[in-house]
Amino acid sequence: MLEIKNLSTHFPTERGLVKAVNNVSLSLAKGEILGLVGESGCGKSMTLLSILRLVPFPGKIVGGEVTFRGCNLLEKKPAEMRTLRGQDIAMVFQDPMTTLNPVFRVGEQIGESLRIHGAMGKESFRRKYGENRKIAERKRVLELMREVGIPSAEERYLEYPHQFSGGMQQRALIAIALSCNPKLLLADEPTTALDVTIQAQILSLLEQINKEHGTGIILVTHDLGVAAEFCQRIAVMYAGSLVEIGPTDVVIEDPQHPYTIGLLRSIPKITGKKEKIKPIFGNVPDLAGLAGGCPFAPRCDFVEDACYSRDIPMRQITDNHQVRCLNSQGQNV
Amino acid sequence: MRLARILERILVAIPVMLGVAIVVFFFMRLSPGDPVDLMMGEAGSVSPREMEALAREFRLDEPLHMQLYHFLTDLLRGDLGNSFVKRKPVARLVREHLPATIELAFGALIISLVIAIPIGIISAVKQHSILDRVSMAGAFLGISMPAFWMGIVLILVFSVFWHVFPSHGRLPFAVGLKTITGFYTIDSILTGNWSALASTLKHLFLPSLTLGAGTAATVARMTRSSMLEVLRQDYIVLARAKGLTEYAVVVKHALRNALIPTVTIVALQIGTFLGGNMIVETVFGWPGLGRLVVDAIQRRDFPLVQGAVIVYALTFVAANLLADIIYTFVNPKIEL
Repeated sequence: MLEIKNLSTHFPTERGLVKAVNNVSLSLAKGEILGLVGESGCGKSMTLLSILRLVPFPGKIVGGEVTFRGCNLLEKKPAEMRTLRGQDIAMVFQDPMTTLNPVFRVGEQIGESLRIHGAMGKESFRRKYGENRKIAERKRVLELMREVGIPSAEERYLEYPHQFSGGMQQRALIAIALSCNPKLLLADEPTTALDVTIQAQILSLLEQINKEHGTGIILVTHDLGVAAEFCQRIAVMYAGSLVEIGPTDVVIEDPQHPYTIGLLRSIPKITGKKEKIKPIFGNVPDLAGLAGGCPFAPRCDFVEDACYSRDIPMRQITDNHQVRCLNSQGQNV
Repeated sequence: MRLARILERILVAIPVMLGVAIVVFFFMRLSPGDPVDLMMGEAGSVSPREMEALAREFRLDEPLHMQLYHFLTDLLRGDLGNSFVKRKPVARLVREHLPATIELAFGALIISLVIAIPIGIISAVKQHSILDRVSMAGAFLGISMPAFWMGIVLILVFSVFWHVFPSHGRLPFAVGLKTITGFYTIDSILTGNWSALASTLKHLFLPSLTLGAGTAATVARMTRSSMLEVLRQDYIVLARAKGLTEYAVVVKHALRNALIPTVTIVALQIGTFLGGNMIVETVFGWPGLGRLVVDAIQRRDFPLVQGAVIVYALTFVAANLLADIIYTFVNPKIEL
């Protein structure tokens, strides 16, 4: 359904060119959940914003293709892009407290996407919610609020965001994203700002949406555990590049890239024998000063001279498992 | 709920007004210069007996505390007393001059809203553009220029050199407008006197510009900076991700938030527009309350100054209350 090829998004800064998204290629099948994992600032969110072409100034998509249901989004006109946003591709953001507009009522904000895209005039919605658009919109919004688990929707419809708790705000944001029945949901760390019990609820809500509506989801997270639990496939990003992608169990059980191995080793375990957590030494590189070669090389335990000398290509390990590392076995893609 | 709070605020204003009345009473009597002396000086040679009679008429021969007592008891009955100089009830004088001042304040308000807010928005949306630089430089000038100087320069350029706008007054006598409300713009519309309306607006322009320039500049800069702040917020990204046009994002989602600080400032400025326009009214010979008061102060016309200051205090209290009420409407997080 979604096919990203060699997507690159660059930010010119005073310190140099930041390649926030560097030659990223990945795909998403219909109804699939893909986890995009990596540290803060590795380009996960920018990858999502690039799909919607909402990269903030001065960032710019400099190359690649984003094919969504057969069309390259990067070639679409701005107006065509707008009809897609919120209707076919919706996004859930990281920080619900700052993502809802503080001066509008929550019900109004959920209904807005419906209005923009004239959803209530569409045949399927008309049949379900009736002819009168205003009444239909309200019905639909209340239904959405109930679906995402906002209790006493009738009253909360008229409330303002600051009257909602963080978890409820995130539910409202998910309701906004779901309003037009999107085919693709881009979830940018939807649980990072929430406490653990609420996290689980929100994630299972996303899973339920995925099952019931067949919505494809790209779940961006820095938590490999979350990705392991909810995603069919996992893509690991480091310093703007994709370093490993494969089915969840393969990436978890048999990681090939030293960075993925390091990430897995740094997760504390509560079962099995006591092991000391092994952190990845060193710091995330400054993206502005990135030279050629593997960006992970300075922190890598298996580094060789060749790692610094040239850009490392993706290698195919098995059918759907790819790794960007010279040490890995397999064919160059 | 909201109504109860508003009522509470109005009740709190009463002691404030009383305090203002007492302070202005003493300030006028503490300042050097005797109203009888000043009046007699104009009339030429007068006998001491005549002066005594006048002092008695104005109750200036009584002890200070009795004068204050009379002033306050009259005030509580709604009587502002009679002007020493004009020999008319102060209330009537204020009523005659207030429409001109309100009209001018309204003009200044329009200048500082209708012009300044769009400039602020465009400067923010097109940050670093030529338009942004020019308008912010203009705003800097607007803030820095004192009203007496700006007024004179405007008169010089637009009235003396170019003859585009009149320099003085509200309306020439020759136009002959039948006054109903005292607001010339409204009166000219009511009587269908279009030439009077045009002339009124022409007369209004330069004083309004002078009075509103400082606020307009502040509003433009403030709208710009809060707009820049708001445009960086996450909910703006969400608005775009919903598929809104850039216009709707800016005008609906960003502006409503960016205007919260601006609206408060403007509402507070209404008090200044009504009560801080003495200089502008003097420069442009505008027959409003400001000029009336300046005149009254020079002649030590105690009742007129007291009455006018009380009206000023009232407008300030009302403007503050209005600002608070508006604030609760634009910012749902705030309750009165």
